[in-house]
Amino acid sequence: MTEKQHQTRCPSCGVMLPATAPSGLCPRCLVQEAMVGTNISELPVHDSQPTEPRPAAAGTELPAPGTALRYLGDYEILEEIARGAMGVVYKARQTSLDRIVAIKMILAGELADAESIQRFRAEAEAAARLHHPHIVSVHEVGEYAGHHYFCMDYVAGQNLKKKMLDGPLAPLKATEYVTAIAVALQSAHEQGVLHRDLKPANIMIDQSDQPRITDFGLAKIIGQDSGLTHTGAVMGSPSYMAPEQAEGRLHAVGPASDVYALGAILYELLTGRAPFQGPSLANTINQVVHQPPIAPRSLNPQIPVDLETICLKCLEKHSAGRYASAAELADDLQRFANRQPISARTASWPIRAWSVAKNRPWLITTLTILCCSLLLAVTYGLWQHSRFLNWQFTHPDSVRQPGPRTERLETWRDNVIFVFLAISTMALIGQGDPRQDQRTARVYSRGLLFFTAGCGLAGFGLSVVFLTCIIDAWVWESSFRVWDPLWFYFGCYFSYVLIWMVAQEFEKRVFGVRGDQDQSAVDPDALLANLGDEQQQAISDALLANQEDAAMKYCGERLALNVGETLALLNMMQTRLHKQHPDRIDPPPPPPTYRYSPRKHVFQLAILVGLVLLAVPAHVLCILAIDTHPAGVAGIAGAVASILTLLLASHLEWQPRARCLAVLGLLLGAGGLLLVQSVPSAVLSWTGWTTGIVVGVGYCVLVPKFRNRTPPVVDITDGKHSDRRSIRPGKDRLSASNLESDS
Amino acid sequence: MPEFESDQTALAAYNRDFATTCWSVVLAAGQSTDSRSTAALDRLCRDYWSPLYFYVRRRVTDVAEAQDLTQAFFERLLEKRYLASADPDRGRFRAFLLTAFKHFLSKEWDKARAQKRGGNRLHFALHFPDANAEYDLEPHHELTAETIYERRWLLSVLDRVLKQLEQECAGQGKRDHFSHLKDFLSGHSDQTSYANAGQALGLSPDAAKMAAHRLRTRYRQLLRNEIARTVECPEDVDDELNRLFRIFSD
Repeated sequence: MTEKQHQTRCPSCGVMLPATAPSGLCPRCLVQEAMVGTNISELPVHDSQPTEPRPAAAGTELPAPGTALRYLGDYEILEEIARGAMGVVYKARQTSLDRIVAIKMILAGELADAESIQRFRAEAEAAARLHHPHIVSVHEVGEYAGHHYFCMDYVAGQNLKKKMLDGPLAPLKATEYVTAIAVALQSAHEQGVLHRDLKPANIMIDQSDQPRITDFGLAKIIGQDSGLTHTGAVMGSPSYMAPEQAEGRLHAVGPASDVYALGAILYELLTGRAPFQGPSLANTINQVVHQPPIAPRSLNPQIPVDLETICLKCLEKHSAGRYASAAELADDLQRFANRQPISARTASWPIRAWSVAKNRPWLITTLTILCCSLLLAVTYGLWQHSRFLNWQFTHPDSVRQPGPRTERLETWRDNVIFVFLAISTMALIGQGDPRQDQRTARVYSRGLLFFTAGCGLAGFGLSVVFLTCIIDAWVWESSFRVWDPLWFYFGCYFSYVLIWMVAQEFEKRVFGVRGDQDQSAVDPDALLANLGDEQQQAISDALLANQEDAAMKYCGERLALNVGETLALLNMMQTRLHKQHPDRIDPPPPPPTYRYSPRKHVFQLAILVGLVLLAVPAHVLCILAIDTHPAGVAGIAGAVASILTLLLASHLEWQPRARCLAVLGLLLGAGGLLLVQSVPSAVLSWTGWTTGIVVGVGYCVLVPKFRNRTPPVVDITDGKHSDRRSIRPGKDRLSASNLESDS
Repeated sequence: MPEFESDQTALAAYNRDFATTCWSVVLAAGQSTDSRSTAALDRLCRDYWSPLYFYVRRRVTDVAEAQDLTQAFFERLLEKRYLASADPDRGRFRAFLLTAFKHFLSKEWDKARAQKRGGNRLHFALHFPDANAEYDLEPHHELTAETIYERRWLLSVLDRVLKQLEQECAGQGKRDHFSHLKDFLSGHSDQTSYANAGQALGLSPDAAKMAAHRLRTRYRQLLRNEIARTVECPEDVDDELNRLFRIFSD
């Protein structure tokens, strides 16, 4: 490396000057010079300030902003902030009050025609009426040397459009913003002002993350006819315009049109694109008027159903179908944020019931299981007992001893054990690793959910039948095994787990992700500050070696972070690592906005159904078969294959799905080993689990996404690092010999 | 310093026919035989090869390999091999060039190395020794390759523009105007410095101010024109200026 040359700083802007600076000048200042707006040169300079030696002579000179002063009456212009179709906005200092403000001026300067001036003043007047923390307020309107301007709050921050450049916002964040804007809009409507040009570029987000409405360039004071906009004229941004605005029916434009625009903004915040956008103005307007919007959840399945409902209600073509006022919209959004049923659609009773029960699920379920089973057991038991007594009365010589009922119990026990094992496997599969699922954003199809719920209910049904068998055998033949009620409980428990998983998934769909999985409330910087250097290094190493799940396990197990905190921390660290080592690590995955792919889920569903359907009849047949040929060879082979697959899967860190398919195969193999009693049934069941394993393996081998490419590098579980030299970059980067080390 | 075209008439031609020489038209037109747009692309590559060279020097340790990479890439680019890349940022030549180069590095360099062609098929020379000297002047180990690329790009743009400005002044017999007034281009302007400049040039302070103003106006025009060569439509110039402004800002 060459020695560091002595470097100087630019006296104006303070930036470090490069050694090869062009003609020795500061590159930043040079670019800034070229950015100066051309119409400032038309402004006369206020030069009668004897205490300020610096302002240039009138008319001709154009000093670069920040180094020389420019005056517009009481205001000192600092820099240009924005430029729109009609006006320019400057950051300025009001010298009399010594505060920073924003000055908006007509673009055409002195050459503005009367209509532009009138429109400009109308905007200022409309905005000046409004006083609300979420609306940029206007302080003064004036004219200086023929240039019309008005002065408003300066908002340091970015507008919503820039905030969306990194992708859609989290649903809760979007809700927060839109609720605040809706409240402000309601206040504006109450004071008689319609905005008519709401769009993300007109919403500023200030330093305390609060939205502020600005740019009332098209505002109309309700009841006044300014005579400016003529019926038939279309003004505004077409993507966010209400249909009545787009068609030019100005008399129909009212508060509901602003509500529409707010719905369009919400849509874009959630999905990353405006509801209607076309290649040309005419095309966009046509879409706005005639076509329904694409449902947000089909663009981003993570959007909660209720939020989608609210959004689409705002985007109704007829204003009567929308919220009547911005206040109603704000109320519904608030209800959604509080996880209450929204007014836009009546909540179906399962949702309401779930809302009520959600706070104490374990207690309710346990009590329910206990009560129901007790009730059932007692009722059935008493009934059977009374029948038994009647029968005993007519058959006084009978003796209670094992007989047909006991046999039936044993048959059922075998069946039931198998089914309960299958159900417990499904429950364990489904539980998976919640952190992993969050990262890869699994979305379940309704079919899968219904199937799982069905299995859970079937499990319950079987448990009940089993319970009746137990009671029968006990009452009539006094044969009772202690394990039986335990099997019953086992079945109930896992059936309940399945149904609970489905309900949880359902809740996520309707209300969104909350609680310990919610990232938006976490401050990753604070988390990072609490970590020791060694801990940070361990996580960085894991991320750089593409061992995301190891890093997640580390955060969860050794640092005791919950899911939301883990994800927030890892995302932040990955962003930083990417900045430092862009060749070795990718930026963190953006919030998922993928297209829903039903094919993949149908495929998974088919595998699961196929396995269960293949295996169950096979074992039922076994039970019914009377010969007891030990055909354990098939069972042993299946079991061994499953064990090997499982070992391989855990060594290579396959995705949970693959592992679970292997586990299922193992269970079926074990089941076959225990229950197989005839050769044909053995073959059938062997086919079942081998298919499962082969399909699972094939799925993983042929679909490379489901396979990690590098072996585990960082052994997280006992806190030690393995040798870092074994970190290998991925295949499609430059080979290691060419890469320069970055540290 | 890498060589550049000092042809005033060529500059005038760019100013006149922006639309037809817009570089992205070349790529969109496929195997275009429109000589003017081809010439525009050719010229752009000739002017802006050094940022890419700096980028690859940062990523590849072996200097000879870096030179081969740069050479091979430009040969391919000018044979219009990158028409198919659907780059969303293709409106900016600066970003397009880097993306195409990364694509080239990751996918094609291995193949190109295997079938190494003989000889240099570029119509212009890449002055590696000068670029190497410049590369070694800067401490690079704290910066990423992309940052180096962007900075070098901006410095190349500014270099070209200032050289053009100087040449224009020289052409009007006012070379000393440029050397004494160039400081005002980066914004130092107060009464005393105008007085000093006026004295050096034999002008009154007001006249010096006027001359500085004219110089700055011309500089602005030249810079905007230069940037306009590398973007898709004239409206993007301000946007590109904004981005360039932020390159040295952090």
